Amino acid sequence: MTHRFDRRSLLRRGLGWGAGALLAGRFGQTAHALAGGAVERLTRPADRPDLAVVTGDDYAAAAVEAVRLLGGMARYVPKGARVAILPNAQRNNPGVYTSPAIVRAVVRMCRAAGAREVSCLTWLPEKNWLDTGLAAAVREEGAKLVLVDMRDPAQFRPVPVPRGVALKEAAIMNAYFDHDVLINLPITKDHAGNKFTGTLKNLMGLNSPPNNRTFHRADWQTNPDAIAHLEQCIADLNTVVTPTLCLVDATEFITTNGPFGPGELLKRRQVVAGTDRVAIDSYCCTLWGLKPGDIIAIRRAAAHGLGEPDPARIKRAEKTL
Amino acid sequence: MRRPATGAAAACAAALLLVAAACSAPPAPAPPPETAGAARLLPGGGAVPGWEPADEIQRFTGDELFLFIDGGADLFLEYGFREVAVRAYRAPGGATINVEVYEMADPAAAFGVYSVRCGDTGDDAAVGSAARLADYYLTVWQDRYVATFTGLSETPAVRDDLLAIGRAVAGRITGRAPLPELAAALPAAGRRPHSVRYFRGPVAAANVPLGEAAVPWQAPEAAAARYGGTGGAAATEVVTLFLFAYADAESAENALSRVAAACGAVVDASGILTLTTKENQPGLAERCGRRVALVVGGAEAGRAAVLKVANGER
Repeated sequence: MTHRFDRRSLLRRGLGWGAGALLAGRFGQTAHALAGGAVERLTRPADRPDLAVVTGDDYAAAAVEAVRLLGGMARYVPKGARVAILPNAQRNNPGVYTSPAIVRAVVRMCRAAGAREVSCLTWLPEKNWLDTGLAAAVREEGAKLVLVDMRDPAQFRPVPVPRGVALKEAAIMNAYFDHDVLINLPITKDHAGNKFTGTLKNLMGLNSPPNNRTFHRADWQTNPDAIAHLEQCIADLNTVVTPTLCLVDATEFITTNGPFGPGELLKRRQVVAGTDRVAIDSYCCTLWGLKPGDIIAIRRAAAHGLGEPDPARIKRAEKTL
Repeated sequence: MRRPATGAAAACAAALLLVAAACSAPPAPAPPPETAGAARLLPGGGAVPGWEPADEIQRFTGDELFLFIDGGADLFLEYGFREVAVRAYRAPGGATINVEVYEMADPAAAFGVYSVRCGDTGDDAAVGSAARLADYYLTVWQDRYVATFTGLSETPAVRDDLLAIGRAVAGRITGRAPLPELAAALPAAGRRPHSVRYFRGPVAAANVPLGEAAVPWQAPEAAAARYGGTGGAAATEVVTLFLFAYADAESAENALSRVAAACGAVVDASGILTLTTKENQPGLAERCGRRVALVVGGAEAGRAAVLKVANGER
């Protein structure tokens, strides 16, 4: 991720070559992923944790502290960067959407790090953002809420998935390619089909709803393998979209009747941050007694080499405020 | 697509109907949105003291459900979904309750969704045919409708308000239906409270305790309940009883044979299959007519006792 932005910086200074080719996708990350499907990872200094887990009643402060434990937002958001953020605004039922306090904190940290602009990308209707208080959080912090018309195919770009086992082509919203940095902001919670949602599944929020529908097999109502197919597609999608940073809302979330609720509410008061989606999801699912090995998307993403699923090998920094 | 159901829309619809009637033989008139389907069950202003509609009614039909609850739609569609009507209600102090009324294909489908979404949580409430009140939400089943009422704040008072709005909705449902036949066939003796589930596919099965054991049976419909632990049914450890219903006895027999082959087990001379599920749970299964009973978990004596009771009550 760092070298990606460096490449852009070089181009800006006129030192690059073949600028047109390199900027075919403004989002250098995606251009890179498209070229070879390689997954870029921020090199983690030996003294930095893989995950930062901060517990507290002040969720904004917890988010700030989690990022600080990882080395600070400036590690992820270079000056002048255009930042896309991806919170979950599915419904205003308790424990179903990303806390506005966390979103506010992230936008503030991005701006403090020198981000040129911060945009919240979504194809969900504006009502979801208004009802959850996320629209106010985004706008009051000086970020933009970019509402993409889910019914307009022109708003999405076909993206081959070279390493896809089940998903061969995604359809990522155009607006994503206008940004340098992606910060993934899911809420962890139950899911009716695959029992868990976190960083991996949240990226479906960048993919077009019609393409997301292909994650469901045509015979999903009778085929017991349909859930595994869905999970494989989620893992495949994650090979072509790599968030720069993930902050997971694990403060108050539903453990039944997900992802929409209402359901049993668990208040762990945690914010979990990191760059390794597999490691983060492997940790988060344990918050309500699930095992990482039982979550198919985690297994399939690990098989893609997207991260570390073994909690024993994940270096975690924890703090209680 | 979202369909706001406004008074203006209703007036327009009525005017159009009048014009059509004047010009030619009118087609079968479509009811205005607020009087059709699930939407007609949502109270208007003044219907519930202290609570007023906070927005327009939204309606989603068929696959449009994905637009409303992407990721959660599969469960409803698996059972057979018609439409959902959604509206928020607000009290003068700002408290908000979200109401969603789902119209399912049939009463059994609505009960199935109710049974899975309630899970073991909450207290029974006297609303509709069955209702469960949890910390901040109420779930109600009546006829082919299942409704959820969600308080956006966890105050003790919200539970009374949930019940008031729940009763206002349930009071508008004219039909009543009995439990699905298969769920009613689950023996009552020794059954653990709130453990009855009714389901029709793998998504719902994934939300039933030990539901993975049901998937290989590929039954068009299934019911489950847990027994034991608190006495009754001669089971001292908790076991789960599944009943699978097939189109006919031959289909049920084929399912028994198929699962036996998949497990590397055989049906004994008395017609009982002893198996170990993919999740390593011990089980006993037996066909009776077009149904198969499967008992999973617990100790062998408990499984045998519950299987016997299940057969006896069928």
